[in-house]
Amino acid sequence: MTIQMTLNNKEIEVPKGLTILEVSRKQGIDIPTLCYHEALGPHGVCRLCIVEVGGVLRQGIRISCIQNVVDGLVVNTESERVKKNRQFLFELLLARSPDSKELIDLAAKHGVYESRFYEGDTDDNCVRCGLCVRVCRDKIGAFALCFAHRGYERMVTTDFESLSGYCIGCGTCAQICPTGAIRMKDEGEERIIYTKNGVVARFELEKCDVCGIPYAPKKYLNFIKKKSDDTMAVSVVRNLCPGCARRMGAINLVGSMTL
Amino acid sequence: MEKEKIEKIVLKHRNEKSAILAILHEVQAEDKQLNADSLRYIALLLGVPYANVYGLATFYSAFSSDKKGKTLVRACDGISCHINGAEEIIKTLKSRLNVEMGKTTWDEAFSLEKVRCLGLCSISPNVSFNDRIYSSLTKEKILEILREMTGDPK
Amino acid sequence: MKIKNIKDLGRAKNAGMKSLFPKIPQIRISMSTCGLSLGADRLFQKIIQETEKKGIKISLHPIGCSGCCNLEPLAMVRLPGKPALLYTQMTLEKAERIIRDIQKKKITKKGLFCIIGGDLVSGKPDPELNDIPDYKDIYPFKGQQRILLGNCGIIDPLSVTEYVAMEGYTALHKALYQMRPQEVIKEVVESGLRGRGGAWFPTGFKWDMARKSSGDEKFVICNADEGDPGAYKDRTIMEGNPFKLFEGVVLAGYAIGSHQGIIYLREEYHHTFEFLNSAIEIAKGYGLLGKNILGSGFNFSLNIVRGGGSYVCGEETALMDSLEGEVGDPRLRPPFPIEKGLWERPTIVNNVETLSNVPLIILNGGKWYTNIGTEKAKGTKILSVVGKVKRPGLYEVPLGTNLKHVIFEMAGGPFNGKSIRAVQVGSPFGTFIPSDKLDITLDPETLREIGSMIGSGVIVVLDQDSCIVDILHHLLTFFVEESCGKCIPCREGVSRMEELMEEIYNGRAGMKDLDILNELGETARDFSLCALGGGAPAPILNGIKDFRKDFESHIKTGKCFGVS
Repeated sequence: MTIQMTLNNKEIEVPKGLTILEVSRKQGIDIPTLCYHEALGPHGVCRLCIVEVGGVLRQGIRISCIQNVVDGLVVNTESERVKKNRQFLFELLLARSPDSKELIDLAAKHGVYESRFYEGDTDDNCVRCGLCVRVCRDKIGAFALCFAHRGYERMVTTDFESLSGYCIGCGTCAQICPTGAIRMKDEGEERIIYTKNGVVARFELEKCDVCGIPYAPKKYLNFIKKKSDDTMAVSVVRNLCPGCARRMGAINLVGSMTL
Repeated sequence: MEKEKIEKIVLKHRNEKSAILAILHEVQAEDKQLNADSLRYIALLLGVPYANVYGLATFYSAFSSDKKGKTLVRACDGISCHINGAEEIIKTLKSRLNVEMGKTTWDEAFSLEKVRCLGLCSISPNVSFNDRIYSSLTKEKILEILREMTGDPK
Repeated sequence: MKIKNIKDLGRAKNAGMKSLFPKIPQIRISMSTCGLSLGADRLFQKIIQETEKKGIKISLHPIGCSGCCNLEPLAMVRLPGKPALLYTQMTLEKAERIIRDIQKKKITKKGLFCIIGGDLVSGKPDPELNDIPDYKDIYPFKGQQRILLGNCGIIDPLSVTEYVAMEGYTALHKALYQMRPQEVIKEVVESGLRGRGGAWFPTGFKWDMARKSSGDEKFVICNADEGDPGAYKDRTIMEGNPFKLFEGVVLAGYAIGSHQGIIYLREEYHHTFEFLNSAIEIAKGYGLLGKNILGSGFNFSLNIVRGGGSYVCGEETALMDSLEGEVGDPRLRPPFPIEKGLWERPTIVNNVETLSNVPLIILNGGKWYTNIGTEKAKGTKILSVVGKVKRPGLYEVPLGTNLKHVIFEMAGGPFNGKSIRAVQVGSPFGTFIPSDKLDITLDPETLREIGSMIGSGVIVVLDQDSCIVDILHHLLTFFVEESCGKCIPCREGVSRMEELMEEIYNGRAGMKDLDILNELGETARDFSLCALGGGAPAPILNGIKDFRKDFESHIKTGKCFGVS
C-alpha cells in the first residue's frame, strides 16, 4: 500500500506506515535528530526533527519522527519557520553541551555557531536524549544506566551515581551517544566507560588466547555466553579477539590450519 | 532500616513492583530518609535493577537521601502563600532555626523544606511541622510556635 | 450493615435523618485539614470535656470544611426543633459559652454568623432569630449553587447514612438496577459535563470511547493530585463528602466496564490520605465498594495510591507511569489512555470534581444538568479565590458567572482600601488579567480569547502592592522545579526563562532580553512534549504585553513601577 505526498516540492509515492523522518531520510534529505535511532525507534524529546506540514493536514510544525505520512501530505523540511525554530533549539543545546564536537558540527551544518545562553561554564555535554539509557535497558538488557533527578538537574547516571555493578562494558552507550558525552576508552589492560560526571564502570580486559592482546571485559564475554546457545561462535568458547576470531573462522571454513 | 523490616513492608505490598511508591513512602516515614542500602535492598526484593529505584527516589520531591531531622518543617511557598507573606515566614524560620533551606540543623532537631502546595490557600501562609499544620501565620505567630517547640523563650 | 437493596437504602436514609436531626442538642465541628490547622481538634476535645463536666448529653460530630476556610474554625449548632446555626472563627472561650447556653436551652447570639437554611437541614423558623441572616443571603454563601459542595460542612463525612439521607447512593442504585452502562454514558454525554481538572475534555465522550475499547480489564483513575497552587477544591470534596466521590467513581466503572478504581492522591495531603482510607473501609463495610455493590452483583474495588511529590504527575500519562512504578514522564500520544492506558489497558482518568458531578447527573438526568451554566459550558465550577481579597475561599457558581461579581461581591474585593492590580484565572498557566478587564464571564470561550482558561478554577487576586514581575518569576521557579526534564524546549527553554526573569527582576537585564524571553517562551509553547512546558510561557508572554511598564521599570531600576 502506498500513498502520494509532496516532500520539499517534489511529489513522491511512498509506502504507507512510515514516519516523515523515515521517508525523508530514505529520500536522502537530512533532518537532524539527536534522540532518534533506527534500532530504538522514535523518542520525541529532542524536537530537532521538526518539519512544516500542510496539504491534507493542518498547516503547522510537526515532530517528524512520530508523525506518520498520509495521502496528500505536504512536507517542507527547510521552511523559514522550521529553520528559525531549529536554530533556536540548537542554541539551547549548545549552551549545555559547549564542548561536544559532534553537536558543534551538527549545529554549524544548520547555521548555528554560538549560543546566546552559554554562560562560560562547561557542562557535561549530555543532551539527555536518552539513547544510552534506552539501549542499555531495552536492547542490551544490562540496566546499568538511568535518569536521575528531575528537570534541569536531570542527568544520565548509574545507580547511586557510583561505579556500576550492572555494566558489562560493551560500550554500546558510547557508540550510540550523539554528542560524545559518554565515552569508552581502552588503555593497556583496562577499559573505562565514563562521563564528565564520573566513571560508569571499569574493567580488566581479558587477553586473547592466541595473540595475547587485551580485548574485552570478562563480564561482557560472560554476558554473551549466557545469551548465546551451544552453537555459538568459536570466538566466545575460547577467548579470541576479533582479529583472531576472523582468522579462526576463515580457517575452519577452508578446513586447514595454516597459521 | 533493618532488612527484616524492609522485607515486611515489601511483603505487605505483595512484592509488586508497581507498589514501589508506597514502599518508599513507608520506609522513608520511619527512617526519615531513603539511604542507598535500603534502596538497594528494596530493589533486590522487587527484582528491579538498582538504577530504576535510584531514578525513582531522586525524581520525586517527597524522597530524601539525606537524613531528615526529628521535626520536618515544610514551609508552603505556593502562589497564595507567597502573595500573603510566605517569604517573611521562611526568613524567620531560617534565622530562628539557624538552618539553610533544604538542610538540617546541626543537632538534627529540625529540617527545613519548601513545599508547593499544602492545599490551605485561603488561610495562608502555612507551615507544617511533621504532620501538624499551622495556618494564617504571621511573623509573631511563627515565633510563638517555635518558642513552644524549642522551649527557647527567645 | 450491608446495603443490599432499596429497602436497606430506605433504612439507611432513616438512620441518617435521625443522625442529622437528633432529639438532643447537636454540635458539629469542621475537622478537615484546614480546621485542624486552626485548632479544631482542641475545640473538639474542649466540647467533650465541658459537656461531660456539666453532664450535658449532646450529639457531637465532625464535619468537613464548607470551603469557606477563612471562617474556620467552624461550628454548627442545633437545638432540637430549632434551625441549624453556623458559628465562625471559633475559640475555646466561644465553645464554653455555647455549651453554657445549651445547658440553659438558650441560643448563643455572640459569634453567630448565619442560619443554615435549606429543606433538609433547617428546623422550624424561630422568631428569636429574625435578625440573623440565612446563609443563602450572606456572603460567602450568597449566590453560590452548591450542587457539589452542598453536603460539605453539613454532614459527617464518614457517615454513610447521613449521605444516604441527602440522596446519596440513590443514583448508583438507579444505575445498577435500572440502567444499562450505555444509558449511564448517554446521560453523561447529554449533560455536557467536561473535565474539571483543567483539560475540559467531554467526559461522556471519553467514557464512551473507553467502553468501546476492547479489553477485559479496564481502569478508572481518579486524579486527586490537585497540583495547581491555589487549588484545594478536591481536598474539600474528599474531606467533606468522600462517599459522593466514591459513588461517582463506581458509576464511571459501571459505565465503561471496569472493576478497578484507583485514587491517585497528592503526596502533600497527609491527613486526607488517612481519612480516605478510613472512608473506603467504611464504604466496604456497607457493601458500597468491593463485591456485590448494593446487592447488584457488580464488583468494584477502590484503593488509594499516594503520589511522590511531583506536579507533572497530575498529567494523566505521567500519572499512569507513576502508578506503574516508574518516574512520572509524560508519554507520547497516540496511543491515548482510553485505548492503551494503565498497564496498556483502556483507562479513563477523571478529576475529583468531574466525578463528583456524576451522581447528580444520573439522579436528575443529563437534561437537568444542562439547565445550569451557559449554552456551551454546562454545570457549575468550584472556584478557589485566593490572594488579596477579604473572603478567600471556595465559590461554587454556575459557569458563565461574571468574574468581577465573584471577586468584588462574593469574595468581598480587596481589603484595607487597596485596589486590585491583576487577576490570574484558571491555573498557574492562566494569563494575569489587568484590573480594567475583569468584567468578563467565566466560561471557556471568553477566557480562551484572552489567553486564559477555566483550568482547575484557581483565581489569584493581586492588589496594588503586588509586584507582577516577582509573581511571574515565582511562577517560573515553580515550573522549573516541576519540569520532568525529558524534552529540550521545556527543560532548557523554561529554565532559561526563569534565569532571565531573575535578572530582569533585579535590574541586571536589558530591554533586548524581553525579546529573548519571548523567543524562549514561543519555543517552549510550540514544541514542548506536554502541557507543562507548553503552558508555562503563556502568563509570562502575556504579562510582558499587559504589564510592560513594570518590566521596563525593573529593567531600568530593579524596582516596581511607581516605587522610589
